[in-house]
Amino acid sequence: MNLHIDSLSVKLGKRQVLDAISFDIEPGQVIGLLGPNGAGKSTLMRALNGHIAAEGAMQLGEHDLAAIGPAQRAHLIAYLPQQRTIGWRLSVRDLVALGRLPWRGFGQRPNARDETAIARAMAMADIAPLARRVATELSGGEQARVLMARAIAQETPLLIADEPASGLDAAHQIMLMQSLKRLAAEGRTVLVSLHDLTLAARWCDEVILLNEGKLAALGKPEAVLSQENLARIYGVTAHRAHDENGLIIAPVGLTDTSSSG
Amino acid sequence: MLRSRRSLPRLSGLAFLAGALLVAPVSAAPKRVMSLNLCTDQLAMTLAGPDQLVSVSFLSREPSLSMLHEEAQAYPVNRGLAEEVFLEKPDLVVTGTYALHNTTALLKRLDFHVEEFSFAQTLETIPGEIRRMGALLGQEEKAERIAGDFTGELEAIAARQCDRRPTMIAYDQNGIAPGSSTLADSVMRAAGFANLAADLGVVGMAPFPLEQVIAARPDVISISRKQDAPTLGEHVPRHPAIAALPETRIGAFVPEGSLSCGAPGVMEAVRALAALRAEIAPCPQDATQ
Amino acid sequence: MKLSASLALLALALFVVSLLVGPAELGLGNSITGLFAGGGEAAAIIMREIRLPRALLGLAIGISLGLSGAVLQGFLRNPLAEPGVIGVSSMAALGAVVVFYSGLAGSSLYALPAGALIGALIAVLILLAIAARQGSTLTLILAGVALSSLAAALTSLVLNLSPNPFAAYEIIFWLLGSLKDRSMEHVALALPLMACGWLLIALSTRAIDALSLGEEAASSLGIHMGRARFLIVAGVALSVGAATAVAGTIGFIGLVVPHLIRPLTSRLPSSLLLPAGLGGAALLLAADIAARIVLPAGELNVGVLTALIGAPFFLWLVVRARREML
Repeated sequence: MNLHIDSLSVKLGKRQVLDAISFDIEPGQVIGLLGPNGAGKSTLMRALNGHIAAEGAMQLGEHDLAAIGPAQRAHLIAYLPQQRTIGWRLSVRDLVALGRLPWRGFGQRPNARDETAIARAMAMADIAPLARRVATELSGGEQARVLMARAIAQETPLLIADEPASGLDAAHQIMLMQSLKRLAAEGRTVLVSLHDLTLAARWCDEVILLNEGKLAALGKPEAVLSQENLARIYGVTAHRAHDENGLIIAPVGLTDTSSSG
Repeated sequence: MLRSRRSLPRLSGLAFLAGALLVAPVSAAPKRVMSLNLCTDQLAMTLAGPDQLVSVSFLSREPSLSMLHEEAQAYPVNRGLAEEVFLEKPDLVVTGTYALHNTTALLKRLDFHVEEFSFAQTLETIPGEIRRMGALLGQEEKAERIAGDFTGELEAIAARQCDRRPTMIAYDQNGIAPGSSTLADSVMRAAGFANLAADLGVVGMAPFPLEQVIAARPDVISISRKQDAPTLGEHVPRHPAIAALPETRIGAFVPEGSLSCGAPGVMEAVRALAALRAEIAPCPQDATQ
Repeated sequence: MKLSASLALLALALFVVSLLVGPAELGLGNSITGLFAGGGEAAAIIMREIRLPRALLGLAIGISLGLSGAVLQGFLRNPLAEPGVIGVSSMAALGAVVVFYSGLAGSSLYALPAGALIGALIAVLILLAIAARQGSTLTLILAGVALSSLAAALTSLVLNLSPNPFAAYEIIFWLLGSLKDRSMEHVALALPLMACGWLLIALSTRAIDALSLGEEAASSLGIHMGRARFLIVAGVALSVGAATAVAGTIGFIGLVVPHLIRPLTSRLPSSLLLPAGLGGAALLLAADIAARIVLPAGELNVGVLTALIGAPFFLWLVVRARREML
């Protein structure tokens, strides 16, 4: 399904946190949501999820996201919050199975379709061997993938993940992006916010760059993550290099910030 | 405010007292008596001469506890505080032995004349208590007359009893029942009843299991009247299990407040229960009345 | 399911034992005929008017407390949440005391649940407001301690202010509850309300499961948070309020039982509800039987026993580290 956002604005108190954001996303892609701290990335994701009120149009396929209730939204959007909360000593399998809640009626036990979805999600997030382990006893990287598998198991056309790579080591970051890629390859849309620019440049099909609540740039990483944008929006000078798999961005210093607003 | 309004008569009273102490012999009857206890209140109000009693305890105005609650309206009331006594400077304080331990000890240390009455008593001890209070108040004649009437009526009621002794339990707040060595027990016996709680070994006021009341099926269950201010405890003697006993007489048979103190008023309880006994289990003597 | 079946059997066995224990030693045969035969026989009256309501209340109040503890722990993701610890029971007691002893409803027993439900509702709303703003375990427990102390103090105050001198003796009942001398009136008063509470709590199972992952994740799993909050607030207020109205404050059942049983379940909050309810019934019935055996004539308040078991347990939970008890 296409995600169509038109003039999306969010005010928190008197502060304009999002200011007339518009974009369209084709399905089957991993879209990176980039921008410095406070640019409005989390706000945009929470608005899409209905956690905060927003003005403007949000359309997923034929569904008006502002008009639907939580039960229907859970069939369309899976959301992975930045905060990794695991409340009880649940087994990995039971935790991933929570992703199937929106598809189960009250008091219904998981059916064959649920079981398939759970198994596929665990395979896609590379956690099948952990199925019987206690989730709270896993490493941070393993927990991140378990929670990702929960979101994948929800089997929604759109997956929104808020900084899923934060706090992960290099190998786990790559494993995480691989599972997002696999998901997109199935025709689903993945919207993921990232701080690591190289990660975004190499794994995202397109990136959206936000700055102070406004859409600053949109498109292929190669074009959006230009020296000029990095300097203007992140306030850094960066080395850009290429290898056979794509772009590498290494921020190396601060630009002169005295002139910037 | 109450205190300051009373300050004027008190001052004049003090002056009078000082004068009296100078001339009166030491053994003279006390002029200003203060009673701090519900039960000494009953004796003192019965026996004291006019203006002899300065104040009585606030509980004396409580209809559920005090037979003389109407009379008590005529007296100022105290809350049994040492301060109140100190300000009033009575020449005799009468109180009970249990309550107000600290107050009593303090008053004695301040050289007040304090007389304590024990109320672990029965009908048999009442004439003695009446005479003792009479002697303290200098009202010996009046006390002798009241004590003599009391003993005489008790003997007359005893003469009307026979071997038919229906069982009774006085079932009160929260399932407390008086056993042996209580005033209520002696009243029940004097009126011709067998006290179930005492027969089953209860001594003093003690909790009595509801189940055992039902199992024993007493002929009479005497409960206290409902008060305006509700308690949960008053629901226990009104438990549906008690109401379900088919042949038991249940009710508030004893006049309110008549059993709370060993004072002449307790005779009303004896009369009421004796009449009840005559009604439900008549003796040959009852027919000749 | 096997766990629930064994706990149900245990609760049933204790229910039967509860019917057989009492100061009137009836014997097994007399008890059984008394229970089913009609008429004015002493055994029949004792069984049907005294022991049956007592056992029924033990069962139902135990279910209410176990269930409320389990659902509050799940909802707040807080293993120390419990109606007694967080002050819901004390506030319910305060509500009942204010309405009943003021004599607004005469001395009618209907005043009790009316007041208790209001008290419990206020407590749950205050605690959710606090817990929602700042979700830490410590905040909730401290708020609960403050609320319980305040409610207990006000309860004592109201009882002391009653013009009836006997009211003050009932402080102990409200602070450390009891099932002594209850009747079928109490059952009729409390059971329907408790049952409504259980139903509302049962409807919140999806919500508490999803809440294992935090509020935003739960909402993205299709949980209507406002509705979930209503179900749990109303469910806990109804069941704990009605229980407290007829039995006073009985603490720690909702804390001890979910803890003992959680390791035997999948640890999904929903899988804990039924076993915690049945386990709560078994624990309360057992404590109430013990209360009658330890001091046969005077009888101990059952709240004393549950506190003797529960308070050291609570202390042990607090001392044990935070992470691993989740």
